[in-house]
Amino acid sequence: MNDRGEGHTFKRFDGQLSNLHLMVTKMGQSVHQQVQDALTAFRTQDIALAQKVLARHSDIDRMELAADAEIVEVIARNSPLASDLRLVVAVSKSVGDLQKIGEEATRMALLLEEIRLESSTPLIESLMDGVDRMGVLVLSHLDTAVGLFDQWDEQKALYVIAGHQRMDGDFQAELHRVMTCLLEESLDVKAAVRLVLLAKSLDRIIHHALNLAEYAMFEIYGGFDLSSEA
Amino acid sequence: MAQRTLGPPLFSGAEVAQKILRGGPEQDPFASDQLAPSVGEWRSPKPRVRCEDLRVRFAGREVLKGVTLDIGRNEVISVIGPSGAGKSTFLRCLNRMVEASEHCEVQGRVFLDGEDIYAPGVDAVSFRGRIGMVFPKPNPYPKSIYENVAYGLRIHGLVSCKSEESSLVELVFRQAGLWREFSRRLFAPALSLTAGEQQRLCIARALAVNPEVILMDEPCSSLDLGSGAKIEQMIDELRQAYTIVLVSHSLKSAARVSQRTAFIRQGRLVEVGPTDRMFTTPSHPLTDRFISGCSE
Repeated sequence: MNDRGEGHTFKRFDGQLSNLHLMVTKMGQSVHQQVQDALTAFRTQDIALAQKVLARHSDIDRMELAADAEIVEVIARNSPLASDLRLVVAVSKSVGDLQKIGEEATRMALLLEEIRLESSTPLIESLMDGVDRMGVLVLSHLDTAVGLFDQWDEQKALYVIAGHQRMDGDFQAELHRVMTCLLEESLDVKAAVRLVLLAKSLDRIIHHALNLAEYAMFEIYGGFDLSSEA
Repeated sequence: MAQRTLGPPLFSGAEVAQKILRGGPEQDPFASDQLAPSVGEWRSPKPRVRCEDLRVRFAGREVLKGVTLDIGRNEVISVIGPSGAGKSTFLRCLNRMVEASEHCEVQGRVFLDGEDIYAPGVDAVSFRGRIGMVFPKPNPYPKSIYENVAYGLRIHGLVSCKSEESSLVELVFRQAGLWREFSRRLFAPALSLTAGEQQRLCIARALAVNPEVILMDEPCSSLDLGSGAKIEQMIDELRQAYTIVLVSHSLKSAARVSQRTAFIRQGRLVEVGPTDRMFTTPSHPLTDRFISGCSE
């Protein structure tokens, strides 16, 4: 948040904004944990961990609802303007993307169970290794994006935005590899489709992380032209 | 993901703001008494009103410290700022009402359509017919609704006969969007109207003499929400034909009706810009703090 000296004259407003900030930070950490656990479960083939991810999905939804209720109350009671308005809008939009990242973690956990049960060929293992490598990159990327909530930092946000462009290429390559194997090798179609779905989940997480970075830029500057970074 | 544009990059103003915020209190441009430049576009290519280095002293105390600002045609500009910032003084400079105060000294120049209103030889009384004014509390004449509008027409010599007068009164009420409301009770006492109706009558009265600019000093401050909304609607419609300068303590009201907003603090114009930008991404940290309701 900006340096505001002694803060708002109406002190309770400061408290509400701090609470909102805390809520989105906690939600970011929880979502990051969900993705991390889903990827760990994938790497170690840990079905129990995947089931924990599924069980915690409703917690993320509850956090989103609680944040939405707080946002509505802050707007109704305080009519935030200027940097306060930007903060509330950025948090509101971030909460939506965090919830969707949580959904992707759940989706990955569901896919993992099916892939594990139905596949055991060396080719599938090799492809799963490739997706796992992407997962490590995604997690690092998401870590930086979620860290934006600790402090709305322009440099971190730009790092996430630049990283998205680089990773987009990596994802396309990985997807191409799976699709090639699907066409050229006698690969189990169901397993291949699920691997593609897994890779797409990771792809979507990257896009949501990009959105979080854009909201951070919005909070700082009130707007950000992504095309200028292309 | 397709490339998207969230909005125009506003780095220049924001960079200034961030620099000042990060730079510590010693970089506050108003920490010293030196004249700091205003932030934003205070010039207009075709101004209706142009103020140049406007300074006002009351008994030696400077309450306006060099305000330079253009006000365009057919625009509503809101002037916001804390109490005692000089907003109303600024407004009263635009029709030379400030000169009515004792021990008042005005420096700088104010142009109305290119004519310096403070130039020697300009008659303040006749000039005021070109600039209407609405005050915080409705102050209708203790006469009929009809007379409140007709009186101004008569004393400015705008009508020559009774039928012309009644036609013009109707025209004024229609222009103000009040004809349907008032036509059946034109000869009822104005003081029998509600406060909101009285204030709208005062706006119609200001329109009667066909001004070029209308100055409004907190016109909704004594009204309930519904009456205030009707005034705001009226301002929005009048914008098509007039230049309106609105001093308001209600930021919501300023945000709703004005196209540009000027922030005055301690007699200085801190920032001026498009209202939507001022209320979402002000460039100056002092504007941000004021609009957000932060402590001084």
